[in-house]
Amino acid sequence: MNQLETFHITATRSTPEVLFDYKRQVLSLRGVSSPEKTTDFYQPIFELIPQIAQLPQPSLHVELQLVHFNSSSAKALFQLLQTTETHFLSDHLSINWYCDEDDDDMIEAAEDFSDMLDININILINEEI
Amino acid sequence: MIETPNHPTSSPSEQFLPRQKSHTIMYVDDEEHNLRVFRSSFRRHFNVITHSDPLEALETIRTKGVDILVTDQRMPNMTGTQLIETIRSEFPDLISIIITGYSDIDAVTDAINKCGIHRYITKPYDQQELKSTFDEAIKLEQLKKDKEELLTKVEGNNKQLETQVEERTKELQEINHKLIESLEYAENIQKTILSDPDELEGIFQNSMIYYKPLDIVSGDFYLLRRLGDRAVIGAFDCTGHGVPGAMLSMLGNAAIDNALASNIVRPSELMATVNNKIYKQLKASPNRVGDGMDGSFLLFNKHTNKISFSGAKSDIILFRNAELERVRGNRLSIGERFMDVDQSFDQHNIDATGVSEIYMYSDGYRDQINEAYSQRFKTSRFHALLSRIHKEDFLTQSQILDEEFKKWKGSADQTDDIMILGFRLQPN
Repeated sequence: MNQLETFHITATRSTPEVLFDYKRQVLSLRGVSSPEKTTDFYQPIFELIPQIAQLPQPSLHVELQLVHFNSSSAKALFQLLQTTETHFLSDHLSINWYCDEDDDDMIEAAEDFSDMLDININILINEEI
Repeated sequence: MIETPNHPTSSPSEQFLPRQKSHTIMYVDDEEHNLRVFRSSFRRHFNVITHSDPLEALETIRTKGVDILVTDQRMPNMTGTQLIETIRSEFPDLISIIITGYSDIDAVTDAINKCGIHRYITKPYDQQELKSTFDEAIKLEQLKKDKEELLTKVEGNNKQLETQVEERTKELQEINHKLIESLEYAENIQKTILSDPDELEGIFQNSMIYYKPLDIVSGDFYLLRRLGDRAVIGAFDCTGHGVPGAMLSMLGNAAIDNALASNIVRPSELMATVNNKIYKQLKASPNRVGDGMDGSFLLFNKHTNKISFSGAKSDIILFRNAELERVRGNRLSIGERFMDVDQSFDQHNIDATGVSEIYMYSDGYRDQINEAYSQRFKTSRFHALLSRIHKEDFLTQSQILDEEFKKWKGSADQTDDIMILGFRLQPN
């Protein structure tokens, strides 16, 4: 049983739920991200990416559903997506970013990420508000 | 404290049943013959002291101490119950047994209730029975003592724990107090960089500064400067909050001050100059992880009635003829690593005809999380709120902003530093 099969961080008031679905190779982050020590929180998630890339069928699907992230989390998320970009061929990488319909700020943030990273981020609108 | 008879006792852990001859029994009887019989019957098992005179007996108990007092009821000078009554107040733990004829039972029963006689034995007594009465009494007394000792020990441990907890709490309180004290001191220093709202008197009808740091000191800061008919306003939000945010704010404030001192007032120029300065300064630090600041520069010329604005990941809101207009800045932060040191910023030149209010703000208000941690306040709600209240006087507005904020936040933590500046161009 390796670390990948059981990777799960539960959400707190200031950190999101982070889950790696080993069977489907889906990494999801959900909730609020404003940790006291951003680097400490994101480090194990960064380390996950090269491990996923070592799997027999290297592919990754990232799902982001964030209520709020602070500026240092923005840098960490940026770095995370950048890392996925370097470890996976674009055919084997997909990123879905879920935003509330009325949340222009989040939609713009996702667009900015997409522009700056030069990767395709699918911005999906939550409708169950 | 429990009064214990003065005799060698063994600790409760060492024994449970009374050890032979470790206890002292006193027998008081006015008949010498009875004393002799008693002595020979119990000498083997106990230290036996006998007295024919109750007064002498009292004296011996006081000086030597005994575990068990056995006394005849009928004696000259003093009855057995009187003897027990006298001595009990001095030695409450003393086990007293009375030996009496049938005719005295009423008096003895009375005494049992009054002064806690352990038992009474009727004459003639059975030696074996008396022996087991002694053993039982000693055992009971020992258990009582053990219990008391344990209770004392537990009480002592509890007290020790309480003291430890108290000490640690006090230590933590002191540390916390020191930290808060130094933060409050830092707050005073930070306040010195925040401009006096009176600075812009004469340019605007009036103004509002709604300023709510997350941790006493803030990463948000503002700067108001009047230059004749013109007002220059800067409103910035540094990455992070608390002390790191506040330190960055000092850096930002110094950079803006410098630029203004070089007579740079055009918002796009100000933004570019400040960016250049901050970018170089932050880049010089090898450990930085994307620190920087977002914010707006606004120049208002009262004479020409023109507004100029540049924004770094920051917008402003105008109300023109009661309609909300959002003017958007560039989507780039100052000091951001993807940016060029010579990055230029757009300048929006706006005719202020019909403009009643201008709002500049950090993202703290609209990014506030709700009680369920499921939603932010968002730009949409922020716009709706300002549209609803912009006509009110600024005091009322800041009260409403505060009420709405508290209502939205509920028991959730404040998300970020908050700053909303409002300026009124026309009397309403």
